[in-house]
Amino acid sequence: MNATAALLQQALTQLPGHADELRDLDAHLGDGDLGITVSSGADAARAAVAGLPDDATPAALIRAAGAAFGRANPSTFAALVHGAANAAAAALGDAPELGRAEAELVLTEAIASIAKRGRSARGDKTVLDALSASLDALRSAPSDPASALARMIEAARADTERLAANQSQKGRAAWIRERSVGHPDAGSIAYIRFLQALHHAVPAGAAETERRPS
Amino acid sequence: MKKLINQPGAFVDEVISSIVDVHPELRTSPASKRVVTRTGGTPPGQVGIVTGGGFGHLPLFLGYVGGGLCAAAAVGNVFSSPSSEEMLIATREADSGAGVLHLYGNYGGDVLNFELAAEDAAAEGIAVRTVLGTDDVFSAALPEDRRGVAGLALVCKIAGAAAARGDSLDQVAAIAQRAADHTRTAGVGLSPTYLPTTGKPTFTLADDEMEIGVGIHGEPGSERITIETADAVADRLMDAIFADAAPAAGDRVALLVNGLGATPAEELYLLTARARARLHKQNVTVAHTYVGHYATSLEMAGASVTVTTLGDDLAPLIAAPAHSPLVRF
Repeated sequence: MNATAALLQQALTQLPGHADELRDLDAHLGDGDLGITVSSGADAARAAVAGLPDDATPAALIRAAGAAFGRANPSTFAALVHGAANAAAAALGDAPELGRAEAELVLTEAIASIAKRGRSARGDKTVLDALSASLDALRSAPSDPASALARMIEAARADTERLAANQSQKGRAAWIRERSVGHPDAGSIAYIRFLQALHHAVPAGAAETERRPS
Repeated sequence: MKKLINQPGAFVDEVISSIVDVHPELRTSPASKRVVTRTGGTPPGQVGIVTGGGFGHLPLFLGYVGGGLCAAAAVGNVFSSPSSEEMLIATREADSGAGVLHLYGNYGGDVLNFELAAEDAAAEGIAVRTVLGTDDVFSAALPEDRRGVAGLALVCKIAGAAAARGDSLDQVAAIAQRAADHTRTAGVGLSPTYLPTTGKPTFTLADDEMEIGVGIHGEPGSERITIETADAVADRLMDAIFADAAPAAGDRVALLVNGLGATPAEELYLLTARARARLHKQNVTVAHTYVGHYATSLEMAGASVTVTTLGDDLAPLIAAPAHSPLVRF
C-alpha cells in the first residue's frame, strides 16, 4: 500500500466514531441519516481502498473511495460526495502524488461538482461552506501537510460556526426555515471531522487545537 | 384504501419477481433484483438503452424492456429513485460494446443517480449518452425544467427502433433527443394514489373536483376545477398542448392517450375521439394512435394525452416492430 492510501485508510477508520454526533446534528436539521451515511460510507470506502493495487494513483483511490461511500447508504449527501470524488479524480488524471497543487485541485473540483449537482452556493449553509473555507486556507497555508491541515480545520470550523446563526437554504434543513437558526450544518461538521482524522494520520506538525463547535 | 398487497416493504420485489416468472423474455440481473433486462441480452453491436426510475408506474419502466425497445431498466422503491449502483448494473448489463443511452424522466433524484452511474460507467470504458423526458407541459414554463411523464413511452419506442436498426450511439441519442423535443403531454387527475407503505393519499380532491396538470406522483397541477365532460377535458388538454407547441397543418403525429391507473379504457376512448377530432381539424395526420395504460401511478384515476410530431426521420421508427410482454405498440 502506498503512503496516500495508508493515510486515507487511517483517516476513514476514525470517521465511524462520529456517527452518533452527526446523527444528532442532522436530526435537528434533516432526517438524521447523516450518521449512518458517514459511518457506513467510511467503512465501505476503507474496504474499497484496501482492495486496490499498491501502485494505485491518487485519482484511482479517490474514485474508488467516493463510489463506495456513495453506494453504502445512498442519501443525497452520499451522492454529492460520490460525484465530487468523480470530478476530483477526473481532474487529477494520472498524477502520481497528492501534493499541494493536487490537493487544491481536488477541493476546487469537489466544490464545483457539489455546487452544480446540489444547485447551491457558498453561504447557503451546506458542506460547501466548510469546503470553500478550507480551500481558501490551503492556498495561503505553510507547505508542510500537518500545518496546512491545521489551518484548513480552523478556517472550516470558524466558517461553520459563523453560519450556524443563519437559516439553512438547501435540502431538508431549508424546510424548517427559522428553526434551523443556531444549528451548525451537519455536512460541514462531517467534513471537519474528516479533516481532523487526516490531521491525526499525517506525521506530526502543528499541534491541533481541541476546540469543538458547540 | 383497500389494496391487494402482502408486506408493504416486500411489494416492489414481489411484483418484479412475478413479472420475470410469468414473462420468460425478461430476467432480473444476477447482480440486482431491481434491474430487469432482456433474457437474451442486448444483441451484439447494438446500442443498449437503459431506462428507470421509481416503482409504481407499470408498464413504465419494466414494460419498456424488449426487442425494439430498451435493453434494461432499473427501478427503486415506490416513487423513489433507484440507487446509482442499480443504474450502473443496468448500464453494464445493457452494453454490448456499442455503448449505452440513458433515457429517463427529468426528476431530481433520478438525474443525480443516473449522472453518477454514467460517470462510473465511463470510467469502466462504457460510452454513455443521456436524454431526458421533459414532456409535461403543465409542470414548468421552460421545457428543460419540465417533468417527464407518459411521453417517455413514445421516446423509448422511437429510440429503441433506432438502436435495433443498428444506429450508432450518437445517432440513437440524437434521434431520442429529437423525439423528446417533439413530444408534449398534458394530464388530469381525478383521484389520488395511496402509497403501499403508508396507506396515505398523495393528495386529496373533493368528489366533484379534478386536478388539471397532475404529475404521475401526484404532484400538484396548474389548477383544480369542477369535473367536466370527457370532451371538455380533452379540449383543455389539447389546448394546452397546442398553446405550447402546435403541430402545423400537414404534419404527421403519434397520439398516446394514457390511463393513470384506475380510469377505464372506455373513458380513455372518449378522450381519444375528441383528441383525434381536434388534430384532424388542424389538418394534422394522426399516423398512430395508442390507447391504454402506458405510464400509471398505481391506482390514481385520470388520464394524459401525448402528441409526438413525426418528421420523416421519426415516422418509420415509431412504425417499426417492438416486443414487450407488458405494452402493445
